[in-house]
Amino acid sequence: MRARRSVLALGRALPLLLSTCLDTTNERTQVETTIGLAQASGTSVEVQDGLAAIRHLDASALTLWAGAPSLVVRIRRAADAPVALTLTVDNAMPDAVLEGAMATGDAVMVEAVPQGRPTQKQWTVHLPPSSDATLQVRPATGEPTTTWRFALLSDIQEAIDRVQDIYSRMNADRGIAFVVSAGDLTTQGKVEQLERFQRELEQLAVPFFTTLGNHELGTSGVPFHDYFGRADFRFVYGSMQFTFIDSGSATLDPLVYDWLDGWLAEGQGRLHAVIMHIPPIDPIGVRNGSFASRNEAAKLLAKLAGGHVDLTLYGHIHSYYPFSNAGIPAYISGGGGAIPERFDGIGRHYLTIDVDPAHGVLQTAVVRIDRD
Amino acid sequence: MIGAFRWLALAIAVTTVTSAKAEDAPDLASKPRRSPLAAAAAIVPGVIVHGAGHYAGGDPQTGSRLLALEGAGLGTVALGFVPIVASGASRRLVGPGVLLTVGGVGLFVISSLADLYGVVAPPGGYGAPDVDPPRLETALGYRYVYDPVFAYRSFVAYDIDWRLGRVRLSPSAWFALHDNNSRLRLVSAYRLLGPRPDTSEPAPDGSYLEVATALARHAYTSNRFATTTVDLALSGRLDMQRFAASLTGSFAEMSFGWALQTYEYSIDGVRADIGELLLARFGYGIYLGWPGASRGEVMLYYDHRHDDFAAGLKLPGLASGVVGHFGADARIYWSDQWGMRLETAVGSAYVAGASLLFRYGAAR
Repeated sequence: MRARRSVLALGRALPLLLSTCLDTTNERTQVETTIGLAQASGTSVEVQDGLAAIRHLDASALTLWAGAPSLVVRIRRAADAPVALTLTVDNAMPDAVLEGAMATGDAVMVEAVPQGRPTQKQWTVHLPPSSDATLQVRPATGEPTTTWRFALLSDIQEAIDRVQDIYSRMNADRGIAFVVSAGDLTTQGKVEQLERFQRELEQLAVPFFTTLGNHELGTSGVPFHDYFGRADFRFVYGSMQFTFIDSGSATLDPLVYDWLDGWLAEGQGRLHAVIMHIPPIDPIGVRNGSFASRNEAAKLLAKLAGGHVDLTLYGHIHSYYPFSNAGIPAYISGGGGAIPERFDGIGRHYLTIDVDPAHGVLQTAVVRIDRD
Repeated sequence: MIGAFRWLALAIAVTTVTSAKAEDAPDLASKPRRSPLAAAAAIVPGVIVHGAGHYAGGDPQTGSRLLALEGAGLGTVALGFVPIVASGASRRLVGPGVLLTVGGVGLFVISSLADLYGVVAPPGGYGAPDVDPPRLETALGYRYVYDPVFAYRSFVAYDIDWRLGRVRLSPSAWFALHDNNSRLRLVSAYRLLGPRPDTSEPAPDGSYLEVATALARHAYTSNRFATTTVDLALSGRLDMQRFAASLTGSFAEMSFGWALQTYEYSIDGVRADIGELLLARFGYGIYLGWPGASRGEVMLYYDHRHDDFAAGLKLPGLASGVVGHFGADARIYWSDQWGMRLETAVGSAYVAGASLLFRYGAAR
């Protein structure tokens, strides 16, 4: 009888254990499918592949935060919509230009409006009532065919007050086309922290393309998407594919695995970098700054290796680790200033990666801002 | 690793000293009073002040011991966790730091559950340990594994425990029924202390200390990889009557170790990765039933493993990836030879299973 009561008590405790949710990512992944889509005041906007966050939309103005060097935006206007639309693109390439075509094949008339910052672009776009136009924002010089450079900066968090010296160093390097980040921009991902981060970014002369880190998940909801757009996305620049993955919960959402299959297929035959916050496997295994499941980590790495990925870039660990996973060169660089790993002699830093599209060569260098 | 062994040795020494004191007090079995007030006190404020249930039940001596155990746990957590935070999880400090942290949390949880058990369970508990393990025990069962990123769900599992004196060999195999996935594992253990078959004198209780190695091969054939893992761990169980008479019939377990793991990919030209795992586990359980009748045991546990089917717990926020999994394990024997095992775990996956147990070779 006593034993039976004990078993019954255990039975009552089990649902509590089972209520722990395995589904830590699904809700925010579903949100991503709506990013880049908006409708207001007789204007409908669709950013191809969700590569920009729509920060503002009304009948006369559209503001985007770009998540890629090039954007394709389809705009449909109602019969009573005004002709002029002010399009502002933040986080744009410094030499970005706008081109457009109506569904009828006619060119869209655009006028550039000079702005004070190299990464903010504005145009007045003339769209007749009931029009259907496709606009393209792209670098004026086209994509590089010779060796070019990008930088990796992650894990800034509470060091936001000191991030300007990193940006100054980056700005001094005219070869950097843009910065990619593996996330942990803020300490908790709160709205005011994201806004502060974007204000500080105004001093960076090139765009900053990022996924989210676990520190962007420290508040209710995920306001990150409203400010930076998708955390799972990909773009191609300079014959190289950049695939950003949301591993902020130490796992990938099953839907992201489906997307990844397609993106890996697209990346065949070109250089391909995959960027995520939490690395599948921590080189210091006993620390486990990695996926919650080693099995899932190996599954993902097998997928990346099978997809012939050339480079994996991670954050999360506040140091610098060059290593390889599943034979793919891997770099953990969490040098943005968040509580640094001590005794490693690294300190704040960022990486530069030189890309030679003709020969498929990647050269990596560590740029140290200060020492441990 | 060495720090963990030192910690375990210290814990055993402390509990041995306190057990002597417990045995010196003949009336402790009737204390504390089992009352709703004591049970409530074990929860509030007991969740913070461990031992509150025993204080409320009129057993301040055990209450003080549990409070001291809680303090030891918090101190151990601080000893491990502060260096981790202060060093930014330095590669030089994080291993011992995590072991101490998990061990400290273990002491904290055990002292809390023990307080509740002591004021809820009747004097003598719900059962007694089996101090005469069989030479051979087999388990055949079914496991359901829900992992959102893997296709497998149903497994058939077969385990054997073969004990030769102090030595235990435990091969096991899991095969997926609808996926190409299998796990083979061989544990070889040496019992330093505690119950074992073929001894002239039965062990005084269920407490044991064991060193174990394990070799596991887990093939995720449909996912194009396999892992091979070698474990080394020191595991112990302490019957809590050694700590206080009111805790008779319950036990605590701890285990610490280290593992080396390779990840082999079935992709041309891709070489294997090698990684490490920290092994740490604690649990609290109770014995069910008495000699001559149906009996068994049930245990709740935390396991810091991030491999195996359950792996680490998925958390949505800042603590992503760090925590291991939780589980419950129950064994019930309705005869000398036949029984059933029920198990469940929650980590990156839900794991639930049931096995039919068969034992052979108990000497008494």
